[in-house]
Amino acid sequence: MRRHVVIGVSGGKGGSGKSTVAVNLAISLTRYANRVLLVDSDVESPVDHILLGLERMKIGDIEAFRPRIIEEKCIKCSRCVDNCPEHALVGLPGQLPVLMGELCSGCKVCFYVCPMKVIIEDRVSIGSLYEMVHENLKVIQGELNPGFRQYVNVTVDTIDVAMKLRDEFDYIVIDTAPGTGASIYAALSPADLVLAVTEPTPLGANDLSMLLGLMRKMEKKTYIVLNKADMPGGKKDLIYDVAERYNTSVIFEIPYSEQIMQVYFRGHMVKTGDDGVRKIFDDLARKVLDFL
Amino acid sequence: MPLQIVVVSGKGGTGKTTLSSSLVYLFGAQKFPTVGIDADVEAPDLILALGGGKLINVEEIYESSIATIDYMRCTKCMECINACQFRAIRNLKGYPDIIYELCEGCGTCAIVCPEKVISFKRIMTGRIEVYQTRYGYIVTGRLELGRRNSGLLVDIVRNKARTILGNPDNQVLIIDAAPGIGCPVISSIVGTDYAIIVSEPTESSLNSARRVFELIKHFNIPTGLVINKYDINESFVKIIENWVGNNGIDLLGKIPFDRAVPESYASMIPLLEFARNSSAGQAVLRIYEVLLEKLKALGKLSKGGM
Repeated sequence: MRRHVVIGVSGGKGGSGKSTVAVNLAISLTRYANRVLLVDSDVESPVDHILLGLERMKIGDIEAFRPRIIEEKCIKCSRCVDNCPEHALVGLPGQLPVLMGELCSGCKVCFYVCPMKVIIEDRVSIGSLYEMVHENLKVIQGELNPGFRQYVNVTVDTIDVAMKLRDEFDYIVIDTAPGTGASIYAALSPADLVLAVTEPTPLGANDLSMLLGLMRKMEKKTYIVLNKADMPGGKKDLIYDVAERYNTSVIFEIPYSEQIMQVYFRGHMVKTGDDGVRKIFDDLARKVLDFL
Repeated sequence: MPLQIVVVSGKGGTGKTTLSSSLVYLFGAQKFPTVGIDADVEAPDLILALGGGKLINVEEIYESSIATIDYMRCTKCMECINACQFRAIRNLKGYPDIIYELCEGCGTCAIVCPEKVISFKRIMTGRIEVYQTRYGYIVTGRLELGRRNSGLLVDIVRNKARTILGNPDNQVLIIDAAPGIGCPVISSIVGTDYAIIVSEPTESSLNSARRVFELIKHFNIPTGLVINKYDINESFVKIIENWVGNNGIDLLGKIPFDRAVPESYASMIPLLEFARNSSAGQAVLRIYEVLLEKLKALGKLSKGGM
């Protein structure tokens, strides 16, 4: 077997079932492998610990640069103000610059342009890293601190920390945020295979096509997992049409099931003994392994 | 001043777009000059929830820039890699290689480059689309795939939306935010008059609602909450109600699970036109009434002209 196969789980639309699929796929893969790593990279709304029903342990902070101006040495030239791309430093020449912290991206331009070298490096925590372990499953989770804008940085760092551990694992499952922007790019960059989880609605189809567009750009092999395939009022054809347009296929349909919903609500998937639900995701895991 | 209402959720897929589109429909039906803003620029769907519309304007926005390196003159000192705070430059076979998707265009690499061989080029951030629908105008942001500057695009979309109708005093802007609590969501919340959190009755949804409320509190914006699909997990409703009560949030109402919602999407007809008398439709109408009362009590509706 190839070492550390990386499977990304994404989908474009929020609430399409990414986390349910990622978490359950990871659990099912533990039956076929020695060690599985699940990475929760939805740093704005990380919930995999809730779905798994596991106590999470904080293993570190994710930090960003913050300028600190040594006021008594500042010559008030306003070079930092003029160069700050986020306009987070304000003030006129002759005035002491004031930092609007919530606008600061941590880019460090001010630090480098200050002719007096009186801007020094402060670090601010923009996110947290968590770890969970259950038998042969390990979970790394990143979480953005509320109030900070740098969700892409926190995603990049979370993926970075997780991928440093890759040699210890047979399979790595990356659960992503919804969307099609830079954080999805960062989260799926290491993926060998991407599963796009969607639902049979016009919104699901629209967001799926955007994600498939991004995956085409990234040259990632991507297959569709259709969640709630037979949901009331759903339209499966829409998804099959998108699949055809992007030259991929729906490799798995997850039924719209009261059982899966109940397991989701109870939120302790590692302990769930529900054979019906487990069997669905065991089947999905086998299907994914076939494609690798 | 327009009345600006933002619909948020933390977690995705809780029903933001269903509620936002219904608010556009209802405010518009009451003769408010109404503009719906799709601020979920990585997955914009608001126009679909209103059954589509006529695309009357597309504007390409070039407000992003990315670093490019003149490799003829680059000495491979790798100073830029060390200086970049966004991990957007990697060492690719001995060369500094810019990962465009992660580049913020901030300029740090160019400042530290001793050979001054890094320059910047403007690239497209995304598009702004203006749609005319039977229910009002919709302004949609569409971020370029894999792009970083979603918050910036939301700022531009919101500014554009205000001008569509000539910015009349009584106009109502409904902002359908992205899921989450990051940059685009902050840009969606800033300066609004009222925020509505949409949550499902699950632990993960409430957990995300708590996080987005942290953000809203920071900006001191009056907040209401809607519980969507409340009857799929009724035992959890009480927990959300308690949290709402303890945090000074208005409980605007509860929407039951109703197949009329996905069916209205599938038919490309807004819920309130497709099935006004469905249980979900009726719940949304009640929520609208409660919202109007809350806005009146806050003195916000005079802003909207009523």
